Amino acid sequence: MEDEPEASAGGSWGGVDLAAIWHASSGILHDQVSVIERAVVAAIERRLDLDGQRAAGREAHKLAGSLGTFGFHDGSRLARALELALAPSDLVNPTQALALSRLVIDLQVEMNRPLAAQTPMAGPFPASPGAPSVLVVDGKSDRARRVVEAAAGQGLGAALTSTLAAARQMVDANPPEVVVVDAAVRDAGDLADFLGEMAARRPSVATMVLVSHAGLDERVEAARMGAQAVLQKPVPPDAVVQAVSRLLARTRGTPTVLALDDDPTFLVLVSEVLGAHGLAVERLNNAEGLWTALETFEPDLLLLDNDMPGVDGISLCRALRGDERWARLPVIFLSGSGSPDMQREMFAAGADDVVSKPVSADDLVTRVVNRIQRSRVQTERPDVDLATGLSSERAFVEDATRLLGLARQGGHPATLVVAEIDPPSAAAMAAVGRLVRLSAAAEDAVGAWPGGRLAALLYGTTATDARMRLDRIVQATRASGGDMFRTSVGLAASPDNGQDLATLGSAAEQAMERAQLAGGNAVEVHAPAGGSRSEVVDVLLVDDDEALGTLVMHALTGRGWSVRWLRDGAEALQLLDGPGFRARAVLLDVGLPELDGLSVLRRLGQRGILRDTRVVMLTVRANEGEVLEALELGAFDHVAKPFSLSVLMLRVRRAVEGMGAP
Amino acid sequence: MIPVDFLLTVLVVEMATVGVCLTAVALHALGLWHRTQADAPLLVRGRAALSKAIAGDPDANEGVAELRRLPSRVQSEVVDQLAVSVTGEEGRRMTGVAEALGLAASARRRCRSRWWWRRLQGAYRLNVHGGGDEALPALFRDPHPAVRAQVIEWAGDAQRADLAADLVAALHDSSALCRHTAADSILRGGASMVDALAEELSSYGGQQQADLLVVLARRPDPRYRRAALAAVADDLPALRVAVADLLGGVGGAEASEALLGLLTDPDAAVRAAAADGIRRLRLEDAVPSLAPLLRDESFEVRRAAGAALAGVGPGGILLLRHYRSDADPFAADMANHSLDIASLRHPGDED
Repeated sequence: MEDEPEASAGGSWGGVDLAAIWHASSGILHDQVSVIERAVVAAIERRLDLDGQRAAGREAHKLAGSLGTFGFHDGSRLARALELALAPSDLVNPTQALALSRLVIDLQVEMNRPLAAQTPMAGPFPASPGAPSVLVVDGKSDRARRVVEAAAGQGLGAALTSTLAAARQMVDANPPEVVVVDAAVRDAGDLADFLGEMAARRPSVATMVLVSHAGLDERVEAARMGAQAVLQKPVPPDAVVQAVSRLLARTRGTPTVLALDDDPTFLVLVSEVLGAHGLAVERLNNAEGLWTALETFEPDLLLLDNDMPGVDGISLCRALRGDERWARLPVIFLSGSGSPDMQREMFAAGADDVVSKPVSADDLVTRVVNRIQRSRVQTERPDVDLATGLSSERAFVEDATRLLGLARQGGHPATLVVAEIDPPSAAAMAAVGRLVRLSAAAEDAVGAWPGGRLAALLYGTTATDARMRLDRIVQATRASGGDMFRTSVGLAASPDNGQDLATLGSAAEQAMERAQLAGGNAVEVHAPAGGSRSEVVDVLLVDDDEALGTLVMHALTGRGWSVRWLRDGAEALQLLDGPGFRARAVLLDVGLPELDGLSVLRRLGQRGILRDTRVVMLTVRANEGEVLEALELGAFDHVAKPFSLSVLMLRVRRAVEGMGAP
Repeated sequence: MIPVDFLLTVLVVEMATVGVCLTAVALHALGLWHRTQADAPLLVRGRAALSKAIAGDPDANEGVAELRRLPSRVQSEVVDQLAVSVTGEEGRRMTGVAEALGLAASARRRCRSRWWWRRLQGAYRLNVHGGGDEALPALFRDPHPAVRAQVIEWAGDAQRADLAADLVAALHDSSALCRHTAADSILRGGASMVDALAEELSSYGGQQQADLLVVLARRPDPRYRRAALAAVADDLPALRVAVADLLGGVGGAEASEALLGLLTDPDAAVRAAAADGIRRLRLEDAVPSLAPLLRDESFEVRRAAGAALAGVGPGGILLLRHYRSDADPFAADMANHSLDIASLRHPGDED
C-alpha cells in the first residue's frame, strides 16, 4: 500500500515545498477570487448574467480544491459554499449576493493568512515520517490485505509481504516501525532468528506475532523469541490495528491520554483532536472501568469529565489521589460548569487543570501537551516539587541555607519569601511559582515550603525591594486568577529578622498570616514585636466639601464604621502610602485641592495600594469621561453627585465588606 | 486762570471722598470677615444639625430644632451648600427641612418680586432645595432670560410630563441661554416625558418641528417615529434632514424604507443624512441604493455613502472595492478613502 500524502509543519507535501508553490500560484488564486468578487458585485447591482455566474462558480470550484491542498481548509470550505451558491441555474439576486459577499471577504481573509498557519500542525510527539508504519508478513493474502486496509483506514501506512525473506529485504530498504508476523510463516530460517534480527536493529523494529493456539505455550515462546506483542488467531483486522497502534504508542514514546466521559461524541472529538497532535487516546465512557483502564493503558494523563451519571469526577479524582500508584497522574477536568466554586472544589480534589466545556480544541491540546511535558520533566527530576515545578522542600532548604551562609559571610542582605495560596491548588501554586521563578535572579532559590507553601530566598535583596517585586507578582496572579484564589505573602529579611533559615521562616510565616488576616492578595513584611501598629479604618473620606463631608461622616459613623475624613488629595495619598495606615475603602472626591482625585487614584494604583483598598469615586453627574477615567484607573465604583445617601451607603458597604470588614 | 486756593479745596475734597470710600470698603470687609469668623462655628453646628435632619435618623426633629435656633442666613447657607449634592430620599427630606425652616416660603415670595435678581434668587433656591412645584412653572414666561433659564433647568430635573410643552416652547426662546438650556433639559427629561414630547412633536410643523427633532434625535425613542415618518415628505429640507437623523436612531422597517426613499431626495443634505442613518442602522440591503451615491455631485453625500458602504457589511466593502476603479474619479477617490478609513483594504488593493 502506498503512503498517504501528508503535509507537515515544514510546508512539505510528499517532499514538495508547499511554500514555494503557494508563492508562485497565489496570484492566480487571488485572480480567481477576483472573478467571484466581480460576479457578486454585479449581482448586488443587478447586472450579473448567467454566463458570469457560471464562470464564477467554476473559479470557486477550482479554488476549493487548490486551497484544500495548500492546507487552507477554512478557505476551501468557503470556496465550496460559494461554488454551491453560484451553481443553480437561477440568477443570484441582490439579497443572496449580499450574503455571498460575506463569504468572499472571509475567503480573502483566509487566503491572506501565512501559509505556515494553514498547514496541519505537527504534534509535539510526531510519528516517524516516510517509512510504512506497519509491515504485515502473512501467507494468507486475503487476511493480510484486510489488515493492511484497516491500518490504512486508521491513518497508518502499511505494506504487505508473504515471506520472511521478502520481509527482511523490505525492512532493509525501508524499515517499518512494527512488523506483524503470522507465526505460521516459516521460510528462510527460523522465526526466532527473524525476531532477533528485528530487535537487534538500530533503531529497533517492534514485532507482533499472531499465534494460532489458545494455550500459553506458544504465546510464551513468541515472547521469549523477542515479540513485543502476541495476538491469538482468529483476530479481526481492526483488533490487529488497535494492538499495533498501542504498540506504536509504546515504541514511539507517544504519550497516552485516557479520556473518561459519558458523551461518546465528545470522546470521538477529543480522540481526533489529540490524535492529530501525536497523542494516543484511549476512550472510556463509564467510570466503572476506570481502574482497569488505568492498569491496562498506563496513561500519561487522565481527562476526566466531572458531570457523569452515577459518579462525579471530583469523587473519582479524590480516590485517584488516595491511590499511591496514581496520586501523581496528571488529571485535567472537563467541566460543564464554569462556576468558580465548582472549579475550586476540583482543584481541591487534586485536579491539575480544569477545562470548561465547550472545549476549544487548541486550548485543550495546549493544556494536555503542556501538562504531559511538565509531568515528564518532573518525573525525571526528583528534586522538583510536583505541584509547582520548583525545587522540592529538601532541595530548597539546602539551597537557601547555603545562600544565607554566603549572605552572612559577605554581609549582604537576603529576604525569605513565604507564600500561601488559598484555596490550595496545584494549578494556582504552579502559576504563582512560575511567576516567582521568573522574577527571581539566577542565584536565588525558589522552592516548596512546608505546609504546601511556596518559598524563595532572594539573595542580595532587601525587604523593601522584595516587597516591590512580590507586589507585582501578587497583582499579576490576581489579574490572571481573578477570584479563584488569593495569594498571601510574608517576607522576613536577613539580618534584621534573623540569620538562620528557621528564624527567618518563622518570621516570614507570621508576616504571611498578617497578609491572610488582611484578606489575602497582600504582601506583608515581618515587623518585630512591639513595633508600631497599623491603624485600619473602614472608610477614608476625602472631600473638601464641608457640608457634604459632614453629612457623609454622619451617615458612615451612624452605621458603625470607623471613618477618617481628609480634605485634600495630597494628604490622603501620603497617609495611604505610609506604613501605619490602611483603609478598606476610600470615598474619593474628584475635585480636590492640591492633588485632584483622579491623580490620587492613579498614584494609588501605581503604588499597588488599590489591591488592599477599594476606591469609590465621587464624580460629577454630567461628566461621563470622568467616570470612565476613574474606572479605568482602578476605581471599584463611582457615585455621581448629586447622589442618594442610601445608594452611597450601599456602595460603600459593598466596597468595605469585600475587603474583609466585619 | 483758576485760583490755587480753589484747586487746593477741590483736591482736599477729592481726597476726603476717596478716604471715606476706602474707609467704608475697609469697614465692610472687616464686617464681612468678622461675620465669617462668627458664623464659622455656627455653620459647623448647622451642617451637623442638617445632616441629622436629613440622614434618616430617629432624632431628625432635633436636627430641625437645632437649625431653627441658628440665624436664618446660616440656615440658608447650610441648606444651599448641601442641597446641590443630595438627591433621592435625602433630597425629599431636604425639601421638608427647607419648608420647615421657612426657606422655601421665602424663596417663593422672592419669585413674585418685582426685581428680576430677587426672582432669580428665589427660583435658584427652589430649584436647589425643592418646593417650587407650584411657583416655578409661572416663571417660564418671566421677562428676564436668566430667570427663565433657571426654571427651564429645574424642569429638566422635575421630569414632569406637563412641563414638556413649556420646554419645547423654550427651544424657540429669543435668548440663546434659554434655548440651549431647554435642549439640555429635554434630553435630561427621562422616560416620563417621552410620550408628552412625542405629542408635542406631532403638533408642530416646519422649522419648529425640525428644531425639536434635532434635539430628540440625540436621544431617540421609537415613540417619536410616527411623527417623524409623517414629516418625511415635508417641503422643508431642514425638517427632512432632521427626520432622517432621527429615523437613523430609532430604526424599524418603516424607518428603513423611509431612509431608502430619502437617498434619492433632491436636497443633498437630506441624502447625506439618510446615508448616515442607514450606516447607523447597518442596513446591508441598502447597498445597491447606496452605491450610486458614490457618484453624487455633493461631497457630503459621497462621504456619507462611502462611510455607509464601509459600515453596513461585506457587501458594502465589495462595492467600495469595485468603485475604486470607477470611471468617475470622485467616486473612485471616495471609495479609496472609505476603504482606508475602514482599514479593510485587501493587501493587493494598493494602486
